Amino acid sequence: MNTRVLFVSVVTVGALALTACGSKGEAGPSAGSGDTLTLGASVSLTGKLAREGTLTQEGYKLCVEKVNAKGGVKVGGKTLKLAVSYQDDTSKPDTAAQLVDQFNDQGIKLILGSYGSANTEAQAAVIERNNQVMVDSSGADDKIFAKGYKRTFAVLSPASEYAASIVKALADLASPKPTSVAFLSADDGFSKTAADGGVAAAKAAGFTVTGPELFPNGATDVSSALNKVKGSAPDVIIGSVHLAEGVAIVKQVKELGLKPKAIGETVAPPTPDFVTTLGAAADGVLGSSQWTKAVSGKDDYFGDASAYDADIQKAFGHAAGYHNAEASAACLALVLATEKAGSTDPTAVRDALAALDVTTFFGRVKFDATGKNVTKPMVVIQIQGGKAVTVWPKDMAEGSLVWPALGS
Amino acid sequence: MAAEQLRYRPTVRTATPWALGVLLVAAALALQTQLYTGQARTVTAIFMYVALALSWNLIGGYTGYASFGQVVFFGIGGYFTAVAMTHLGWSFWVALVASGLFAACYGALVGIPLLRLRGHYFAIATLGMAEGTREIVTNLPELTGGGGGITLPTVGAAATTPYLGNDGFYVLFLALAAIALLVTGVISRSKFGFALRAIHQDEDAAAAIGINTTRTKVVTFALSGFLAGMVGSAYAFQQVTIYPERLFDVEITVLMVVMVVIGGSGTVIGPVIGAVALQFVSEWLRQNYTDIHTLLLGGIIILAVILLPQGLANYVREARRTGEYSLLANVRRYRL
Repeated sequence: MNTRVLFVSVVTVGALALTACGSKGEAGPSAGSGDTLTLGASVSLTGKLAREGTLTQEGYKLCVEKVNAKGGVKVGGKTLKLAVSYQDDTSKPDTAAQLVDQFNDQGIKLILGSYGSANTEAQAAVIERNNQVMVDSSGADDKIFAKGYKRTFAVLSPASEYAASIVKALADLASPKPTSVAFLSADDGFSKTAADGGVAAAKAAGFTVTGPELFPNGATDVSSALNKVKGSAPDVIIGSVHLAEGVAIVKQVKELGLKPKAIGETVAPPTPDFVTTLGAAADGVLGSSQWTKAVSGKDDYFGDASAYDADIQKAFGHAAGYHNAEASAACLALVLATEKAGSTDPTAVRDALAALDVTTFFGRVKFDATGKNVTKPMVVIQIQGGKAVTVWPKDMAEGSLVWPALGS
Repeated sequence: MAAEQLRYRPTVRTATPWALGVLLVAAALALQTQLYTGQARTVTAIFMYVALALSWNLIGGYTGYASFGQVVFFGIGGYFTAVAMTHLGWSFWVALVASGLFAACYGALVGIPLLRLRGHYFAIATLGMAEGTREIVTNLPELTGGGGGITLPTVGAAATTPYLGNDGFYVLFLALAAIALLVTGVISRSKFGFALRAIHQDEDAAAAIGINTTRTKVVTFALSGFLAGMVGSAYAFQQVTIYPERLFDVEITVLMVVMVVIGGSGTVIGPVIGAVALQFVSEWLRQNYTDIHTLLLGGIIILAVILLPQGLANYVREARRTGEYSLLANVRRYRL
């Protein structure tokens, strides 16, 4: 009897609730109708990527503000206000993909990417199936672009450039030139692709290469990997890492008595937390970044890189990081392509993105056939006196490389 | 409750739950025609958690062995499918069943030593077992792709089974939830089910009345592993690219436990209610309160556990028997 009552109530409540949910989404072309252009953005506001996800959202918000300050998006004789519908994907790839599907139900076809390669990779597959189009702001793993997808475009440099740019900077600037490089890498797709790119660049530049030695993503103890490369006494140690592992490498290199001339790391050194955590020990460490305020190039919306930095400072009370910048650039690329297409039709926008070639505060944005932005160089910074100073490429350098970097 | 169910009468009354179960599945199929494809995917996630919560309920609810490593079966099932389809070129359908069986064997194997532990010790041991298994999967990069994930073949010549799409996965996960519901329904009314309840209430007494407790527990653990393993397999195929971090995410175990506890543990319908309610509420909160949805969800879970410590299904059953519907009285009755 009780079970029956429960069954009945579940069926009724469930059916009612779900029908209610069914009438909510309008499958019509709401994204282009009226006088608003709504983009969909699944952002990681909670979960382990919450910090980076929030910075990404800030970048999108500033873009909306700037575009609307100029009147909006000019599409085929009409000017549309720009709006972004934000949803939290809780840092999970399955949810990020599900949200892209939900945007599609609401007729939102133009999508801004979530944070990180795993989320973006899951989203890209759905984008392709739904004939939507996405500009990716932070999914750098080259794997995403090796699948033949035609509707995902990334404004940022691919993962294979992260460690490679440090190698190129050293080959270019360091004198006397180091001869051996050891690679360490976190065990996730993005970091491994970055490390492999670095190894290839190092071999091409004639360095003796050790590794990459792997440790778990998020590790705070990397001593076993360091012990494996200790025997070869490398001149340079390059870590393909995130913040936690990056901090661990700098600490443990000292503790284990390794004496490299330089440590280079992807992702970690440009973040403010790196210097705050390590203090003086951070000095001399090299890092690669998608963007710094020394990057050259300007556009009509954000001005140049230092104007962008000032705007982020004003709006959010902190210096602009590359997570902010790449998000704003992705949003800008989508807006410019929509204007160029003269339509909000996703296929027209896709074609306009494929043909896009613009200079922005983020640098040049031009996509290759797979959707990667290969025209923009990454910048290499060195921590000098607690500050991240851009040292490479030479035409953007704020200061010169201190060498040997670790002064020992 | 047990005495009431033992008076077996093959009447309309005993047949009704089965008929309603069929009706529930039919309603879900009818609902599909009313949904946009993206909403179908959202509802698919609900079915997935219904199946997972039901699988946990067998070992955690009926038997009283709170497994905090249940996600291991989900992960193992997913990875078995990924490896079988990628390296061995198996069809998904073969891999689906094989993943369930593989997870069941794994459950039996680890269950034999672990099910000797009780209470907190069992919970901690299963938690460790799941974490350990994830490390093993992460450290076999040739086989599993390691931390970088593994991509199942779904396009081109390598694809052994055509990708099902949102509509296909809707039916697949609904079928898995229906199987889990059927298995639970059958067990709940069988002698085996009463053996599980006896173990839950007093394991030594259960052994004294002739129940082979070790065998019963291991079989249940394996069976719950079989169900969760098949769900993991379907999930892997749906996601295409899977990572150990997500496939062995302890949060999935916690969700199963919370769903069963809120819905009513040791009942057939409780986990279904818990999973549907929690997934629906969390989805609704995320869409409407983007900034504070996790906080609100946490608050609702706390409130639900305080007001309905025995779960909704058990509360309704007791309230109908005693005529006492007051939630405050309920809190007093179950106060810790």
